[in-house]
Amino acid sequence: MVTANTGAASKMAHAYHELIRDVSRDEGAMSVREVEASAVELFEHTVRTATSPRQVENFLDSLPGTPRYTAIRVYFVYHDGDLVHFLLRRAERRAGLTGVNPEAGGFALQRTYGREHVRAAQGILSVLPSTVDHIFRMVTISRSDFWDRAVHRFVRDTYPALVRVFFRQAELRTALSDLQSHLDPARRLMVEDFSVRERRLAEEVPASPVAYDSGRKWTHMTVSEAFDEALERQQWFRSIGFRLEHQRSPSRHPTLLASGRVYKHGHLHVNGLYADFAAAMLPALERAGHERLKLFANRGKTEREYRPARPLQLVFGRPVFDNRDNMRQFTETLMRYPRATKALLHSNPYLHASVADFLDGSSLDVWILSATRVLLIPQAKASVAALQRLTEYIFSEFREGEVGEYISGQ
Amino acid sequence: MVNTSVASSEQGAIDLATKEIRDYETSVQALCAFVTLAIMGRDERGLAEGSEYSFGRRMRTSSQNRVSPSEKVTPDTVIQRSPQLGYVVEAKATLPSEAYWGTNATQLHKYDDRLSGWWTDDGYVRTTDVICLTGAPFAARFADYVESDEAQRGWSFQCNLCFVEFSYTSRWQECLYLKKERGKVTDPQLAQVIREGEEVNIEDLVANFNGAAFYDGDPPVEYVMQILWQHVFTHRRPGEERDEELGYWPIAVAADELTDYLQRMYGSLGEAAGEVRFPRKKWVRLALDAFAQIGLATHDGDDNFTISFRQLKGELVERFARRRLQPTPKKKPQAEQLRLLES
Repeated sequence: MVTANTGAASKMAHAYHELIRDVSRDEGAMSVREVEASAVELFEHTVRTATSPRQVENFLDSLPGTPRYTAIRVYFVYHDGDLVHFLLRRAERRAGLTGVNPEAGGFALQRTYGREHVRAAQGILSVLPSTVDHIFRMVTISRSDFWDRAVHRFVRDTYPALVRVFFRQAELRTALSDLQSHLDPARRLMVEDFSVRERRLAEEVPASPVAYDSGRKWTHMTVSEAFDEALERQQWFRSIGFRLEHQRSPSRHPTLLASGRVYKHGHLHVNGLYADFAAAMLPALERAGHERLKLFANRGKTEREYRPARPLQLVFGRPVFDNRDNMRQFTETLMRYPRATKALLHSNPYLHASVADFLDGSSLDVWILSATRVLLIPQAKASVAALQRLTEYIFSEFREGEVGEYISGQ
Repeated sequence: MVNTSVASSEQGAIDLATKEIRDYETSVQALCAFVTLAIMGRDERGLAEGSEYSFGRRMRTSSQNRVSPSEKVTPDTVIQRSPQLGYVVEAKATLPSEAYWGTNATQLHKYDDRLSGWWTDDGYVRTTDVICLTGAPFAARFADYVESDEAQRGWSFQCNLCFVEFSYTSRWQECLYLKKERGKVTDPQLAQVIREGEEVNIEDLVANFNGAAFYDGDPPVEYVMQILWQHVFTHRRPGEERDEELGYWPIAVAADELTDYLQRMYGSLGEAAGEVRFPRKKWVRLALDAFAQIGLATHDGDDNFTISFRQLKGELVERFARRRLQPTPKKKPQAEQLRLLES
């Protein structure tokens, strides 16, 4: 349903479109920086004046694009409850966060950084509902400094009330494939570059304690090609840069419509065509996150009234733990788990450790008793947030696997 | 310059704590594994219909008992296969010192009796088998010892006595391998299984026995300390902000209340007839005393302590074992602390 306010948001986006056109016609009329500021200001104005999250979404949907260095940025976060209400209460207690328009989930965020020369990164965020329960989209239009210096830190510091949702390689593939399917045949999605962790071959660096190489690689492949190749090379994407192209005819160079990047650590940015991303890619990511979060619920013994905890398994497909070096590497990785206390109870021939999340109060026992999987036994408290954080850490710092209910004899 | 003697004694303490924890866990696993073999079946627990088991059950000896007539005894595990057959199990992961073998043998003789306290109407089963579960390196020698001790004392076992050894096997899956060393059991099916030897998947033991952490034997202090720190105190940390003046989160605890909590979480509250309460309060008290000794708690009198909770860096078992070697930190009187701060 289109309301009067929705129309206002569209008008604003239209005005912005005109502005970009004028600038491209006469570059001297307005500096690029000024145009960027306008994009940010228009978003901020919309968030401050909208009467519902839907109006912010409409504004994003009708926005033709953002200028260079700015982007529509989305963080997928988990919160068990009303996130806007929670952030308003937090804003009362903590400096740096201010509710500017609760009706549209609008908040102003400011973070200082730098030691000798203290500077501030500030901007406006809108908390929007997602397509699933308990996962929210924190959206902004900004340059990367606000995102990197303020939003990332804010999400990290608000744990365990707020937890970023992470995505496995297969889930990123599904989301990008869903987007490709959503597009009409003349438009295609190409992977432009990716940052990866790549497993080193033992014969290359036999004595090295580091089992992985990290790096960024440029390419121009379809989604399927990029993921198939990564699988073959044992590469794990940290982020994937992509471009949406319009191919008018095979003989002509494709026209770039929009580009963006999706990160496995729960966020993405795009510089246009938000409506397409919001229709296909975002829901796929949210569904994947939601499935995992459902799996993590109701695990602690106290919330189960002391009935036996339900173990989880992290399965790695290959028999990674038949190699002592991998077992040692896993142990070392676990012992580096930040903001947690760790105890090592057994390390040979099998692993038994306990991990307690210092910020959340959750704890669990970690066992490795087979070549292919890790067993997680929740203890008194084992929150969704804590299980999400630990699983993300293991998948990110050791290697990616699949999390699921423990199945005997697998 | 590194003081090598301090370093080696610290390493010795860490190694000892690690070994004791490993042996304790192995004993727990061996008991769970034997339960699985003795009464495995198809009920919702994966056990035989109508069977029962308990880690540490209070039984009573008869007036004819050679060692402790008409006394209460608490075997490590009591398993009732049926109203006709029960197993009394003692587990020893290691038996390094022969000086204690006499005591261990006497304990087996204590269970060679018509014990009461089973899950039957009259509290008896028709046949009792006594099982001695031992780490493989000690099984044969200890069985030899018990046999010669039997001859020396002129006692002979009336119940079936069976020595079952266990060891780890590790191919794709960590398992405990249980095999009869000598002796016999009444149930022909179990007799065949342990004669041929059977691997029990430890993953299933960990998952199915509710992460069993204790049995009736005394656990190492560091083991209880890490369970309290990781799974109890971390959960109880009050609020997000620590006390800035103190530099930690004070958590008031009492040994009684902590024991109840651990029993609820990991053991038994002893609510059913014959059930013993475990973990025991003395284990919790020892752990709290150890926290006080290393400066992570203050003793407030009786069984009450205040834990100085903070985020501890490094690996906890190692930290606790090392710190317990060091002299107790002396607490400066508050007035002196204030003077120091002012200066």
